[in-house]
Amino acid sequence: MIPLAVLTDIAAELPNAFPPRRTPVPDADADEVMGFFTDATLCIGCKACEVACKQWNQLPADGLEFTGYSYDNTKHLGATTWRHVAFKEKITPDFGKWLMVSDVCKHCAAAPCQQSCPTGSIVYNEFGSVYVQPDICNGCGYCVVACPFGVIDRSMIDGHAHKCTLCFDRQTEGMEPACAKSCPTDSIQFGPIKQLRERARERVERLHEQGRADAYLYGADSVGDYGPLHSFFLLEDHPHEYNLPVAPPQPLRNQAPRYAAGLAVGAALAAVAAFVFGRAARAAP
Amino acid sequence: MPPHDTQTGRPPVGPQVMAEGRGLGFPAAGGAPALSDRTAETVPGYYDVPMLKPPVWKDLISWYFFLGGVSAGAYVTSRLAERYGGPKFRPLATVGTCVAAAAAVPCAPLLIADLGDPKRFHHMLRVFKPESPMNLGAWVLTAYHGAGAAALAREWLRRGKADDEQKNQGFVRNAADGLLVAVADVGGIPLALLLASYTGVLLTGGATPAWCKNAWLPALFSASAVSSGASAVSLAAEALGRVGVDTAADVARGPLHIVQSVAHLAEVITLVGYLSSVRRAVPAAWGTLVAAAGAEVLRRLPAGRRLRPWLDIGSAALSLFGAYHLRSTVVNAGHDSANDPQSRL
Repeated sequence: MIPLAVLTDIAAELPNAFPPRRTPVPDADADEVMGFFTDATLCIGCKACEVACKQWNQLPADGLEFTGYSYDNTKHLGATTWRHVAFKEKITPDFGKWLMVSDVCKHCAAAPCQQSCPTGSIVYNEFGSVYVQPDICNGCGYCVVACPFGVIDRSMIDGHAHKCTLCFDRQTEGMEPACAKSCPTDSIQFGPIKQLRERARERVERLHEQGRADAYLYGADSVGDYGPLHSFFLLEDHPHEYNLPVAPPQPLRNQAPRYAAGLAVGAALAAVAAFVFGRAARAAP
Repeated sequence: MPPHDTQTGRPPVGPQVMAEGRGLGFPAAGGAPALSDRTAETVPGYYDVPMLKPPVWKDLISWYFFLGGVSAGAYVTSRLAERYGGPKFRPLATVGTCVAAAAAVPCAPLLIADLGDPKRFHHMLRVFKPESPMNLGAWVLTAYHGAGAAALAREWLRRGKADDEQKNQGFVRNAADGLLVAVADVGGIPLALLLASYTGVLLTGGATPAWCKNAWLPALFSASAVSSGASAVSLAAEALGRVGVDTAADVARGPLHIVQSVAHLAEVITLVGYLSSVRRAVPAAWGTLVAAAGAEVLRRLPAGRRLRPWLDIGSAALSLFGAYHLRSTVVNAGHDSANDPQSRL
């Protein structure tokens, strides 16, 4: 039988579920929508952002694994890693360079994790960021497969999904997120994304003037199925080099044809069944 | 252009193509294809770190997809057998309703066991959010249980009664029967079709290349649900017939076989469509094709009166195996494609 303790735990979870909070998809051009601009040309790979994020959000360590991937032993974002500094030694036959950028949740407008979330745990907060309400998430894992950037993951510790909150708690107190605060080179900049985009475009122009023709913005305009991302990047190489998708799909967009295909086949087979049973009934007994 | 670009022959990247509106804005200078048009072989990824997170779902989810499909298929088959087949197929409808209920019982526990925090399973129903296939599925499964309960309750009320006896037993009992039929058929059949196909839509909401936006998957799961559901009804009817329960298996065999064959055909067509659309090798899918073909061959083998039911039982079991194998194959293909560092978006 189910122990009484489990039943009382379930009862204790009940009030958390109500009232459901639903917020509209933020407008990327609204003044109050905040985001990150992460500039790969300024990143020195110091990982202060990773440490500051872990410290502020009280995230546990991920263990000490030596990956052999240059100066990157973090590898990827996860449930307890909300900033990840990609660090790559790019070596061609006669040239070598370091690629570094601090990756983070993109806080997509029309985010697939938000749309996929069956509990309504994932919402847009008043700053337009995608936020997982930790008291609602029941760990179904659908957001993990829905995210085309491989950002959100389910924690082995509490069984809930976690990702960058854009330091929701700091923002409500008027402070900037811990990673942006700690960044020694201002590679991570925080602010209203409308302003950040303008600043980023100026930065790209300046870099081009300096002869760094490879510089471009990733996610400031549309990318794949997405409009402007709330955290966008200035990169100097192909997105795949930084493990970013070139054409991230929004897999939950336009589901009607998929439902139609499934229901049409089911209904057609049901019609066959109705027909053959009806014919058998009319046949001589 | 910085000198290293020309020295290495590395295709230059930069903003020029942004103006041309190509992809992300990579240049196609010198006739080289824009980087955004190039494949995983020419641009190295980030070491061998996969771009996507693998699904956190365990094998339980394949069992749920399978049992939900069997339940929905058995439900539709048995309800339609009674509605359009009349008294002749009453025993079959009873068997099918019980099979559908039995297959539906483990569904919710399987889903709850797969949650990261099973104590919060009820949070699925705190919002109605049909844009999330999983939320829609939770509501459909809940409502389907209600319809299944109505169908079961009706079977219980009609137990041991002949059909004419059933028709004249007073206003209250007739009204109750009519209400239960309405819930079971008008409500239950569409819910069952949705239960069979939403699991496919659910997977297509994943970013993994093996599932993403693939319209074949819901069609495939629907076809497999009907074939495995009809097979489960056939299996139960034949097996109960062996132990002396009157299930009118001989009468039902003909129509059930046609339903199974057509559903198997639809399953094979949609599976081939799915395999050709994902553009990655899914070798395990052969198991389902072979099981469907084997089930059809087994049923058509010439046999005497004594052997016939056993061939049908074997055929139905093979079909059920194929249906589970299909769910497991599709789920595993999603895991593999998410874990593959080469599958970049």
